[in-house]
Amino acid sequence: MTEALSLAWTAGVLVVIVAGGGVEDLALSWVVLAVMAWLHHDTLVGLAILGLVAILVRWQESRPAPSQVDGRDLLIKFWRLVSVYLSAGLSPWQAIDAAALSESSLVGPIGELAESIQQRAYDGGLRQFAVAFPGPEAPMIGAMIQHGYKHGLRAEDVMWQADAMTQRRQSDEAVVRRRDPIWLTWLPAILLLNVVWIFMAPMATMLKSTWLKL
Amino acid sequence: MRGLVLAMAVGLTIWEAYHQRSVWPEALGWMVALPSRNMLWMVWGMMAGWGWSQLTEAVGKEKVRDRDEQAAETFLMQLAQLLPIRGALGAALDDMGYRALGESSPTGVLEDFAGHCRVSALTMVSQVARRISRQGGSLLPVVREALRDIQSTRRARFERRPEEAAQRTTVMILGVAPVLLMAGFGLFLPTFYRALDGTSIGNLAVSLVGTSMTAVWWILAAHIERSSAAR
Repeated sequence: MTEALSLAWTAGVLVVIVAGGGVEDLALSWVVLAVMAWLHHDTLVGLAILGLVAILVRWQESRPAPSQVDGRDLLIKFWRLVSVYLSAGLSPWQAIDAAALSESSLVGPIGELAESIQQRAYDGGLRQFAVAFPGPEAPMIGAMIQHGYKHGLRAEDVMWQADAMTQRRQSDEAVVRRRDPIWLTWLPAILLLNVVWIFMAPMATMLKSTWLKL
Repeated sequence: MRGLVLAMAVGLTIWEAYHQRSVWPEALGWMVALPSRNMLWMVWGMMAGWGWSQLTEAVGKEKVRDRDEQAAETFLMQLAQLLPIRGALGAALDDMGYRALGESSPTGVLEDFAGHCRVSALTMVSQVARRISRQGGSLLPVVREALRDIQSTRRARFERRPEEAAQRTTVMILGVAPVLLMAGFGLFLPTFYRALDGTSIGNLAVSLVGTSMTAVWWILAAHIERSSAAR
């Protein structure tokens, strides 16, 4: 009875999957699991859960992957964008405004910095900006924005600075990356030990049984 | 134990479904362990399959990133050549075949392509193009800068690639080695196989192998994913 129900359930889900717009990879892999469960475990509950999960998955919408951007990278990207807008012919404040608007997390700190510059509270504004973005880039960019407010900004200068910051960031990352191969060599070593365990276990078992016989 | 195997199968199916991935690797791990009829081996088969699934997904993401970057680089290269000749973005995009029907705006085409590729340099070009279309200015230096940015990033990555590829191949081969050994024992050394299958020491060894295999594949997958997240 259970076997017949399992078979009917598997066939039913198969029909749902095929009729629902083509056989997907996920659905196919579920079929393998379901058939295996049916053949070897003969459990209707397990099959029912698997089937429900497979059907639920078909209605699940795709979710965008969260972006992983570091604060320093964000600031460098902002400064590069400012240089690009300047070279495109925008005025310094227009360029800074447009670049800050491109990333929502920058709007607040840049806005506060701009406000402090307009109120001539230079040191306080710079300090706050440096706290918001730890790293060597924030003081440099803050100072350049202040300078730009008084004397204007040249696209070439900003571009040169953005390049220098990128190079510095890349060299910092390269140092971290150079450590990667060192810890990655542990992985093959751990896997090599697996081969040893596979040989050692039967030997240990046999040694144990022989020892007991003695 | 039978309940644990089923619970794991359900749990892993939900996990993979939540992450929109295939359950094939887990199912394969289960199937490899199935002839032994040993539930513990099935559990570790599925766990190793999960680790493998993480790894293949990370490698897949890396390939997509490479493909997107290459598409963005080709696009910008063409644009950098055609912009000075045609003078306007719309005309250059027409020549490149992106506005055959002339229905969408030039900046809209750029934004669509940038949204499709998700490469930061191209996104920057599309943002600037939108701004320039309203306030005026030249897009050519921006395109050249973005192109230089993509090329330098790709060059740095390809320099590291041979070393990483060698490391990954070693890990993959060594990961499969214990499974092949166990199959070899089953076929040619039944005494060894029985000692592995039915004893507590054997179960401990298989658990150790399963744990380390899963952990190593997961760690490698996390490493690949972290390095491919930056675009």
